[in-house]
This record gives sequence, structure tokens and C-alpha cells, in this order.
Amino acid sequence: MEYHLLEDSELTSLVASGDQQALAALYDRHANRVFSLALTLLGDYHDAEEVTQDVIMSVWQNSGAYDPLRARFSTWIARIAHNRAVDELRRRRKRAAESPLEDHEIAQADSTVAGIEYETVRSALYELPEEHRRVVYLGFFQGYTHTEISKMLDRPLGTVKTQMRAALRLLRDRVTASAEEVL
Amino acid sequence: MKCEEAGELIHAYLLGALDEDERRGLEAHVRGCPDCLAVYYEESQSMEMLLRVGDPVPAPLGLRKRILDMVNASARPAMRPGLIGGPLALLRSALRQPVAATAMAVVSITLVVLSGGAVLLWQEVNELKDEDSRLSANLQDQLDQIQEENERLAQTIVNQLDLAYLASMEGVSTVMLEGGDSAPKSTGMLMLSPNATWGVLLTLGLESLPRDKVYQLWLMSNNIRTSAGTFKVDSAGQGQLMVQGLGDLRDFENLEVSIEPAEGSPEASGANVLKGPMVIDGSQ
Repeated sequence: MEYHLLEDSELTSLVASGDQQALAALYDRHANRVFSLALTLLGDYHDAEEVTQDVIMSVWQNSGAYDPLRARFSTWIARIAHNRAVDELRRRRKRAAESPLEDHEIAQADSTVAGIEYETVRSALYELPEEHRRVVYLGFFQGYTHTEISKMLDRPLGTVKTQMRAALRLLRDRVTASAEEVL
Repeated sequence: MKCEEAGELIHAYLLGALDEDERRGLEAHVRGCPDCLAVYYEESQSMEMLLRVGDPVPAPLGLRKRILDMVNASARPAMRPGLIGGPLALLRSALRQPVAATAMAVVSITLVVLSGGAVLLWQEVNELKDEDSRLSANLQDQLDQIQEENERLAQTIVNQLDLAYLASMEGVSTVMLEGGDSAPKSTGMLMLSPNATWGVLLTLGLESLPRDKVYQLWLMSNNIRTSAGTFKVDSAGQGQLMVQGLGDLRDFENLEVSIEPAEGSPEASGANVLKGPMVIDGSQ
């Protein structure tokens, strides 16, 4: 069977039946993106490697949970990677709270993710008002909950929720506009 | 959970900004609510963009094999108790039988006759194994070097993102370093964030170091040296180091860079290659 010719959805079905070569094909197709996302959020090569391993093993164990009708596989697996990376960021914060010596590690992760916008999605993120952009950074890139963000920024929780919604809609509009420019 | 509440939480969910209980509650509601599911799909388009941030960086060498080995190990069927020690147990059992014992004797004699040729073959196999081991060791060494380079490049990308972000901020200031006695032609610059709680050190003209050495940055105050991290330089002599977690960097009086063992050193022990006072050159 030529695995590299199969669609992601076909490969996940094979993985669900225990086909290791299908998992290898999915790895070849998506591991770099998963690793990049984890590295971007965590700023640490080895932590990103662990997250990637964790994500691929999760695909191996739970590929039956993937529903091709609901999302593209690339989105599904990136979502898992983001969740894992956010979990790791929260663990770091918890450890740092228990041991102030690890503040350095947290600061590195924070400043690293802050630099992302400049590189790849800067045009879309730059269009966001500053207060909207901050909630995206703190939520998506640094893994804070909306309740924590509300306290950090000293803004009512309702305002944070509204700004998150507005930020995502502005980003979506930007994506749509970009797609139309391409067409 | 009601649809109104779910609608308020969906965007925080998409950003990964819900706590565990909220996340579970929302997922349970959306699974059973076609209207909220439709909202979720519509809003999730913007998330796809965020999930693709950052330049692609190759996953580490060896990770693929390690994962597939783990998968292979986890997929291997558990051995049934009745088969434990199978071949030996069967042999012992057979030797208790007279007919089987005779057959084993015939097999033994045949093995003795064949053993002369087998020894030669065995020696040849061993030589091939030795050669294979040597080739494997060389290959592993090359893979280690590639892996090391891969890690360095990945770290460089991360550092450059930090640098790009820093350069885009208003109120950035700089501190200049000049070459020390052992590297007079080298220069360095520490770019400080507006509140001086973090910065990026850039170096030029430093020599590439062997694998067992690194450059280490020291910040000094009241004759006390504090390590600010280690770094290497590329073939063009350019190096970068993120400096943070040390409070207000303006509180230090001097900076130095020295050559230290690969794991870093608790005290400066090697040649001093860069140095300078913590004099802020101004902000942009």
C-alpha cells in the first residue's frame, strides 16, 4: 500500500485499526508543524520534542476520536498540540509559584511567544487593537485562562470575553480577505 | 449550560483560555447542541490561522524512530502464560521420552560433524558484526552532530523571534561591549527592553568554539558575578543570547563574556573575550 498517497482521513482509519505504517505516514506529514507550534509556544527544544511525542502517541491511541466531518486532520492535531503546550505552560507557572528559581524559565517562554507575531501572522495580528491583541497573546500564546487575564489586566471578565470574541472575528475577517485576494 | 453561556465561552475555548471545568462543560454542551456546534465551526476558522504561526522547524532527528519503537512495543501482544519458557520447556519434556531422546542424539552427532564449518562461518559473522558496529558508531556520531546543529538552528530561530520583537518595541536601549585581550577584534551589543528586565546580546567576530566549549555571559555588581547564560557562535562569528530573569539589568555595573566548558561554569574560569560597563547608550 502506498501510504503517502492516502488522505489523512484514510490514514487515521488505518491507525485506528492498529496500522503503524499509517501512523508513520501521518508523522511524516504533520510532525514538523506540531513541533514548530510547540517550539513557538514553549521556546524550549526538548519540551517541544516531548509535546510532539505526546501528540503523536495520542493520535495512535485516540485516532478513533477524530471525525473528518468536523475538522481537517491538520487542525485537529494542531489543536491537540496547542492544548498540550498550554498544559505545559501552566505546569511551569505552577512550579514557578512553588519555586521562584524557575521564574527565568517562565520569562523565557513568555518573551519567546511574544515574538511570534512579528514573524508569520504579524499582518493579521497587527491589525488588532492593542487591548484585543493582549488577550490573544495571554490566552493563546501564554495559556492563561480568561479569569486570570481579567485579573492580570484589571478588566471585567465580560470585557475580556468580548475582546476575545472581537479579536477572533477580526482575525477571521482577515483570513477571509486574504483568501479572496488569492482568488 | 445554556446556549447563551456557551456562546460567551466559545471564543475563550478556541483560544485555549478556559479552565478544565469550563472546558469540559462547554464541550458537553456543544456536542449536544447543533446551534452552538455551528457557531463553533464558524468561529474556529480564525483559530486555524493561529495554529499555523511560526516558521516550520524540522522535528528532531530520531524522534520518528523513537515514537514508532514505542508504538511497536505497546502494540506487541502480551505473551500468554502457557507459552512462557515455551521452547525450553518443550525440549525438556521431549527428553523425558525415549524416542525423543534418540532423535536428539542423532541431531547432536550431526551438529558435531557440522561444527567445524560452523566455526569458520561464526568467525566470519563476527568480523562482519565488528565492521557493522564500527559503521554504526560512525553513523551515530554523524547523526549526533546533525542533531546538535538542528537544535542550534532551532534555538537561533527562537532567538531571532525575540530579537525581532525587541527591535519592534519603542524605548529599546543598548549597551556596547568591546573585545577583550584574547579577542580584540570582537564586538558585542546588549539590546535592553524598555523596562530593562530582559534583553538580547548580539556578538560579532568571535571564533567558533570546539564542541566542549561555550561562551558565557557574566553580569557584575559589587564584585559579584552572575551568570546570564551561555551561547555559541555560527561560522561567521555571530552569536545571540536571551538575557532575562535577573531583575532590572541596569542594576549591574559591568558585563563580561568568557570561554567556559560546554555545560557552563559557576565561576568565570576561561579567557575573557568581551567586556564593557553597563552604560546605556540611549533609547530609540
